[in-house]
Amino acid sequence: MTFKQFALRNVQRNLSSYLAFFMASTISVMVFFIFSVAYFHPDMNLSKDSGHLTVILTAILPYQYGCSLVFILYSLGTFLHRRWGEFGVLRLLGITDRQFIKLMFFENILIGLISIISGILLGLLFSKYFFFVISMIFQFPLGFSLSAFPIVLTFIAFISLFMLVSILSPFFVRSQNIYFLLTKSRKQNRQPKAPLLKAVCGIGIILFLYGLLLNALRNPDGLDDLLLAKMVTYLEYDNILAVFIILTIITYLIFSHASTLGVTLLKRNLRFYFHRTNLLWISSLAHQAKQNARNLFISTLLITISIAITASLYTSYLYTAEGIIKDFVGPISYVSYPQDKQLKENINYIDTYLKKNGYEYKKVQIPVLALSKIEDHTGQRPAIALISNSHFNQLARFLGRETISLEGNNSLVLVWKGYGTKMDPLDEIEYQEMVLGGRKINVIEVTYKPFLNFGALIYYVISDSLYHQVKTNYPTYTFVEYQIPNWTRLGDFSAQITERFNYNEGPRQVHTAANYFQSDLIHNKTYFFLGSFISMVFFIAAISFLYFRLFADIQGEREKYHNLTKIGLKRREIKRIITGQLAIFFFSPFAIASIHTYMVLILWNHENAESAPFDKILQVIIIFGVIQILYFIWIRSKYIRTIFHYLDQGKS
Amino acid sequence: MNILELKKVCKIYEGTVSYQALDDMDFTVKSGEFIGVMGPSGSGKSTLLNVISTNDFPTSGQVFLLNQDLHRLSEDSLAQFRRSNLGFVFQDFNLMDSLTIRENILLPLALEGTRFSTMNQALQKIAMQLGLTEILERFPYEISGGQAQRVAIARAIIHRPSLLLADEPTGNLDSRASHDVLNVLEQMNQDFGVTILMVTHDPIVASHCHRVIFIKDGRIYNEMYRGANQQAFYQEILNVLSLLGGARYDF
Ligand SMILES: Nc1ncnc2c1ncn2[C@@H]1O[C@H](COP(=O)(O)OP(=O)(O)O)[C@@H](O)[C@H]1O
Ligand SMILES: [Mg+2]
Repeated sequence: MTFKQFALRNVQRNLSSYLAFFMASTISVMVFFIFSVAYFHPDMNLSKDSGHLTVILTAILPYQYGCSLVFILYSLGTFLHRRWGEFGVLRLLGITDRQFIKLMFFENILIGLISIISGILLGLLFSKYFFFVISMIFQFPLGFSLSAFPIVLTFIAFISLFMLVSILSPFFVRSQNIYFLLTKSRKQNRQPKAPLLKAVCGIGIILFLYGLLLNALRNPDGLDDLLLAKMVTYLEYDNILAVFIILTIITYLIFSHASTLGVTLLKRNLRFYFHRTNLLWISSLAHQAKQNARNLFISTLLITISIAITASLYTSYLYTAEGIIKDFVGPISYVSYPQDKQLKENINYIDTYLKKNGYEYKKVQIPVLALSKIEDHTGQRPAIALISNSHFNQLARFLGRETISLEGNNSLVLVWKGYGTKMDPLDEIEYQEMVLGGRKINVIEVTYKPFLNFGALIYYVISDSLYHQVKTNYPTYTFVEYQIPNWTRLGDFSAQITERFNYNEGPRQVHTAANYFQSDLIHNKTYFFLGSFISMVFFIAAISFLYFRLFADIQGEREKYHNLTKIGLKRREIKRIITGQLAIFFFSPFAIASIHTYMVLILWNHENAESAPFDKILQVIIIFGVIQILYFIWIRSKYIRTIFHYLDQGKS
Repeated sequence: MNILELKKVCKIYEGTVSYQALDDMDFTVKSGEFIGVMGPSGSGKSTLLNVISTNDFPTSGQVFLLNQDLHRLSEDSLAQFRRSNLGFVFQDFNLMDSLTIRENILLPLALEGTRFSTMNQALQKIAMQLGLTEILERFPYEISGGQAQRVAIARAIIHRPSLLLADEPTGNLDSRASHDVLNVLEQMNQDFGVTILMVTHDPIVASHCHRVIFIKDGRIYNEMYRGANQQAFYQEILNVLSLLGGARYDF
């Protein structure tokens, strides 16, 4: 028998202990594969898009890969731990290190290959089915389209992952001596040496990190100041990745450290601990704490991701209009250059149309002095303009914001930060260096709130007296802003006036939000569709991990209950214990994931918190919660049935 | 008063080859008796104990415990009956890996909802008697086989059952330790009137019983009462064992 055959036989014979590891690997492959199918779906157009959604989706791919690596290493650890007895025998029989490494390598590559293939096949099956079901639900025709790329990507990504794991795995075992291997495999994890100290440290770190996030919640711009955010923002993943990383660490600490505190406290309360079946479920939680921690951790992350994706895509779909208007300030903006002779006529045209068709509207018209040409904002230096205090107040009242009053050389600086500009925002210092009519301007405040989102990039709001003094030195532009509550129905009219006014690049700009509404709506719907699909996959993966964890242990558990019935444990009590344990197992990840989802979404949408409202997020969480509860009921009855069936068998 | 009564109890294990482990068992146990059960390996001793303890059903026949036909009770009332009236020492100990020794011993009391202070008093006493005080905080895999056996005994008697069923409780112990265990059992029997039914291979241990039942091939082969003289009883037991002969003993 060659060595390769031996390795193959070994896998065949140890099938049951391989199975759990194999399942974990397969699920990881499947999730990655399905995600990349959706991600590289032609309708997603991710490469051409640079919005927030793309950022979050793009961040998920490497994140999920990292999670897979960690999870597969973890599973390998428990898997090898279970087989320590077998390794001990092999070592006793004199297997050499070289042979051992070879054995491990072949085994892992074999399992890896099989799980990659089955993961991709399962993924194909699932994605086809899901595309069908979800397009029914959403009434949205979106074909299942498959290119070779996701398959190749998944294959390469995971074959290299398993190579890495294969190279690492002998080190898990090699250093242990034979006696240790032979005896340790029977024993379970002991309690940590100083559970309270560990727990208190963990909770300290958790509170600190939550503090950072809550602080960021109250003061969103402060998020950029997080050390971690600075480290990762240069990857252009935005600070959402930093939030992910912080939440990942928190989740890990909750399950590995804080949970020991809970169990230890329960154990210390002797009267409670030794009351009826408490003894059994608490000790069982403590006993399996370490293994549970890993699984609960990974499930919580996956559940968080899936709820967060769905909720954010859902809200951005619902609030498509609000998302657009955020970039526009008003649904129609008209920027008139000094040489524009048709300002009055054009505004009249718009007003007439709006009145005739029964639209309610408000408008404001303000003059602006341009220090540099504002026709083209992609130039080398940011275009700069001046607004008088009273005109600014007019605008502020129009937008429902606070007015100010400026004296002398004092000035307020409005900075337009986004949308199509290639320029980095300047340092605040640079705003200070402004001289007007021989007088140095004294900047008292810089604000990034949108007031005028077209024309110049930087507006100086100056006192009326200074404005009048310098007025004649610079060309005057006129801005007309509209507010129209029902603007989303203005699609056709928008196209018409864009065509009419901008004809031949006339001396004006017209910006209409409604132009973008329909296309954005479809775009967001597509994202919502594919996003829910991805979320479902993540969610299924998450609950599968819980499922495998439970049923991997069921042999030991039913032995345990068998022994306990012998000394008089009632079925009713068994049911109660199992229900309690499963409830903790299923709902603690969900509860933590819900809280974290909310934090992610608020932080992510911090620029427009109103488009991540609590009730909409709650709706999504409730839907996932219902799925989770149904799943819990199903698993519970299945689990209890399996245990009872075994107990009945024992009595022939 | 009869605490236990077996009427024509048969047990057949169904399988590819069905096997009759108990064949027409008929006997009664009076309250307060201390009975030894002996017989070759595979003769059906453990099966007998399982049927009596309601952990297994007889194929035919009836078992009356405290004048109740137990196998007619529902699953949960059976469990309740077991844990308030019976105590077991199993051949393979049956200790729970996830519980410490203290927790293992207290489990029956905890399930009953006994007050914590009462539990503790009972534990102190039994741990002292069986020499377990030092190892109360350890887990089952951290103690020796003999210690595990004593823990199993402690767990079986801590709630003062009316009937104690023990499957080779001294099987793994050296003579000193088995003497200690025997002492505890005798004390339980004398002081608290606990009825004991104990499987054993050790003729010396058996000679402490009031009565010894010999089993062969699932039938009662012989039955002997102890006279005043323990030494003589020991001799008689040895004689029967040699007559039973041929069979292997699982020491
Ligand atoms: N669950 C079972 N299924 C089939 N046969 C069994 C089972 N349990 C015990 N036996 C058989 O019944 C006989 C009696 O077993 P047991 O009562 O354990 O003997 P003892 O305890 O006296 O050594 C043995 O021959 C054994 O092989
Ligand atoms: Mg036996």
